[in-house]
This record gives sequence, structure tokens and C-alpha cells, in this order.
Amino acid sequence: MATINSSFLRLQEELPTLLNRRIRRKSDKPKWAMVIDLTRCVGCYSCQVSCKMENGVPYEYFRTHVEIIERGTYPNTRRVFLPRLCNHCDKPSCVPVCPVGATYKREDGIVAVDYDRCIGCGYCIQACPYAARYPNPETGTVDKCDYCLHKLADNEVPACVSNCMGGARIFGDLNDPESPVSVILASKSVSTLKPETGNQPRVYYIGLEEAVRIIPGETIVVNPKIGGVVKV
Amino acid sequence: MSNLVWDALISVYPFFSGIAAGAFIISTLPVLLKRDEFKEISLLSLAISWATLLISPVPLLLHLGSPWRAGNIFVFPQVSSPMALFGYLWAIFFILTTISIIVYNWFHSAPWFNSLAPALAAIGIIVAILFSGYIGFIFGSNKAVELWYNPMIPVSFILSAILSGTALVAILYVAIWRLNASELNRTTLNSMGRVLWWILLFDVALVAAEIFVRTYMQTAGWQILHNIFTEQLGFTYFGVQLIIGGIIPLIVLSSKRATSSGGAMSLMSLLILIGIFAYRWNIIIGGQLVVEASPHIYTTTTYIIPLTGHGSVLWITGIFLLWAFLLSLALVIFSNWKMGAKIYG
Repeated sequence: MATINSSFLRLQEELPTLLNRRIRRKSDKPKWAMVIDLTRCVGCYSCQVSCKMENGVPYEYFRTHVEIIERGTYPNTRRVFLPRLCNHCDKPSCVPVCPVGATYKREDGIVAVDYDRCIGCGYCIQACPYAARYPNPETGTVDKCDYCLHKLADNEVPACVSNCMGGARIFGDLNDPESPVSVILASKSVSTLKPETGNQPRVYYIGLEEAVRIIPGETIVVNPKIGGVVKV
Repeated sequence: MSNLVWDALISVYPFFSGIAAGAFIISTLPVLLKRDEFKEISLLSLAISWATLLISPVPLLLHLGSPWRAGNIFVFPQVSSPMALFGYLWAIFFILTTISIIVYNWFHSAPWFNSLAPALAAIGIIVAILFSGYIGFIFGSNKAVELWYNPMIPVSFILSAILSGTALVAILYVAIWRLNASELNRTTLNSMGRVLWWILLFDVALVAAEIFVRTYMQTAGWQILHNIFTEQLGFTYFGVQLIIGGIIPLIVLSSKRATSSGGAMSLMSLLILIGIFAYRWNIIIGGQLVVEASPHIYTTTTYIIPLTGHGSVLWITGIFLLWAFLLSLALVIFSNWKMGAKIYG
């Protein structure tokens, strides 16, 4: 009975970590990063919805969104889901352009916004090659994904990660070789969006080439983040 | 609320700042280049520069999400940001223009006038060029927007600044002198016409070179930009910016008869000003009409300026009326603008 109890207690303690809800904090100086496994994304929008709920993102704006890309012509068609968010670049183009230093790169790799300092000029929005920022009409400042900083402070993973039903979003510390992110980066082929920008993005994708590959003459339909459908 | 982050208000700002810098540069020509024919309009140019500089931050302030925090640019400037330079450059330029105009109006008989005037002009012209160039740098250094990412934009902004400043000075010179039944100095008009013609030639050549190079490169972004310029911005780009504001004045001003005529100079200068405004519009609005729907998959959006509300026709009309009021006020306060030839000696 005692063994069962202790196993239950240990399970209760470790379950959140096993369920990808709590962070393993092993290194003193973490460097947070995210891997998105496109082969596991089912396009359920849980990440998008949970992010909006968690961070109070206004109507028609998103900190993270899922692009739906339909390719090919009937009957040879396929659908790809491409979750997008701030790439927390190592060389972010949004940071140096901010006239008041309201956008800054933290030691733990997160690109954050000081909402008390931001003047809402929108320069960072224009400079971001990933269109990851938006002007928040409720606060008069610019807003973006910050990996749910308030949850990280409580050793919890961002809302989009904990609510991903397919386990497609994996979050962890690059400085911890045993973190799920480090393990994936060491064992699987990953790539980043628009590496040619030189921004050194730190959101990695599995299966990205297949999703964004452009075949000349192929019909591509993209459902952009704010309504409508684009045919290419 | 507009679907573009930088709406029509932002296109008004470089229009004003260009005129302020251009008019200042014209005002320094008698002192720095010893071009005596510009003496007559030098103080008028300075008054135009001063009033336009005063109005120039208004559209920016109105556009900010948190305008009450605008002072943060002075308190927490980030040196890596060209926009942070704005506050300081504007302040330095405004102080220089104010000192210059005060000195020229009330202290031109002081013994130190002849040594101070060239110094003010020399520093001022550098600040004026930086002031118009840095705005071009904000756009030209932005790799996220296909149309803006172009190292020639700062040069083009400086040229169009001189162009718009000279054009407005020419319009007001003809209008005010005629209202006062004063005779226009034909040499002054001719020289302004020549400045306009040469700079217009470089400006149109730059635009033509850009179109040629981009069309030849056929990048994915240009293919969609091409659609924007031939469809949504077809009229403002080819019609207003290139033909009305570029090629027509270029042809007309090549004739000395036209540059000697107050009417022709005013009309051509007006066309140039309209063309420069279209240029600001096409760059700022046009650049944002290309939207990346997904990585490397581009689409377009539309922008129709609202009649009322934030960044609307009403707001911009109000700003232009305020500008007209400030221009009139400048001419009343700094009333020596007709004495240019006399003060410069």
C-alpha cells in the first residue's frame, strides 16, 4: 500500500512535466526555444484560442495563429497547418529599430516588450519579417508573443504548448541538453522560417520544407490570420 | 481603424519634413554658394521652413498609439534606432531655424551678423540633409518590406526634399509678390526653375532606374508589387507621381520662357508638389499593400483613406489648414521676408 501511495505521489508530482505542462529548470541561465512539429499539428486552433484567452489578445489580433495552406488540385490535394508566432530571433530586427528601447532581448532569449515605455509608433511591426507583432488598440502599444512570461515565472510552459492536443509544440531550454527541445534538435532535422533574413530565428520546425515548398504552377490557398482566403 | 500600421498620416510627415529641409537648403544658397539671385527669396524660404518644421511632428504625434509617451524618445532614446534620432534632429533643426530667422529679422545690423550667418547656414544645411535623409533611411533599411528595402531611398528622399521645398518657395514667391504688386525678379525665377529641373531629372532617373532594375530582377515580391503599381496605385504612381509631377514639369521647365514666367513656374511647382505628395503616398502606403500570407506567398490588401476618424481626410485637411495658418503667422512675425536682397547686401 505504501509503495502504491509513494508511486502515486511521484506520478502526481511528475505528471505535469510528463504532460508537457511544467518546465524542467536544470540550467541557471536558460535559453528558451520552441520546436513545432508540423507532422503532429492537426490544425485544431487550440494554441491560437488558448493564447488569446491567456493573454487577453483583442478581437481580430493574434499573438500566435495557425495558417492553413491547401495545395494541389482535386483530387491530388493536401492540407498543411503552419503555426506562427514571434520567432524570438537571436538577431531580431524589431529590437534595434525601437526608438525608445521598449522592445528588448532578454538574457533567456525571449524578445519582450516594456509596455510602460512603448509609444506605439509601429516601427517594430514594420521591421519584423515574420509579421509577428500587432498594434494593440486597447493599450496603445505594440504587442506580441512573449512565451507567456507570467507562466514561465511559475515554471509553467506557455499556454499554446500546454493546450496543444497533438503535442506539436515543444518548449524547453536550449542550455539544458536533456530538455525536450535540445533532445529534438540533437536528433531530428529541423529548419527555421526565412533564414535568409539573417535574424537567426529561434522557433524551429519539423517538416517545414514540405509545408512551405513552392511548386511552380501549383495552386496554393492560404487562409491568412485575419479572415479571407488567398489563392496563389 | 486602418488596416495598415502606417496610414495616410505617416505619408504627410515626410512631405512636411521634406519641404522644411528643402526650403532651408534654398535659403542658404546666397550665403554658402554666393548665389546672389536667391537673396530675394532667402528669408521667405526660411519662414516657410520654420512654419513647416513646426507642423511636421503633428501627424506623427496623432499617429502614435500612446502619444502621451512621445517624450520617451527624448528620455530613453535608443541610438540604434533611426527613429530615435528624429527627436534630436528635429529639435536641433528647429532651434537652428529659429535662431537663423530671428537673427536675419532683427539682428542683421549687428557687428557679428556676417560671421554668424555662414556658420548657421553651414550647420543648418547638414542638419537639413540629415533630417530628410534619415526618413528615407527608416524605409530603405527595412528588409521586411519589399518596396522599401532599397539603399537609394535616402538619396531619393533628399532630392525630393529639395524639390518640394523649392517648389513651395516658388509658388509662395509668385503669389505673395503679386499680391503685394511687387515685381518678380526673373533671374531668381530662372534659377529656381533650373534647380527644379535638374533635381527633377535626377529624381525621375532614380525612379526609372528602380523600375528597370526591379522589372529585370523579377523577384517574387516585385511580381506582386508590379500588380499594385499597375492596378491599385496605377493612377497615383504613373499618373500623378511620374507624369503629372515628373515628366510634364520636366518638359515645361526645360524652356527658359517657362522658368521666367511667374504663372508657368507656379503651375509647374504645384504639379511637382502634388507629385512629391504622391511619391510619399506610393512609398508608404504602397509598401504596405503587399502582405505575406504565408512564408514567400504574397498577396495584396487594399487601403481606402477614411473620410472621418483616425488618419482620415478630415484630419489631414485639418493639419493642412493648421499648416497654412502657421505659414501666415510666420510671415507676419518674421515680416522681413521681403527684405532679403537688402539684408544680404
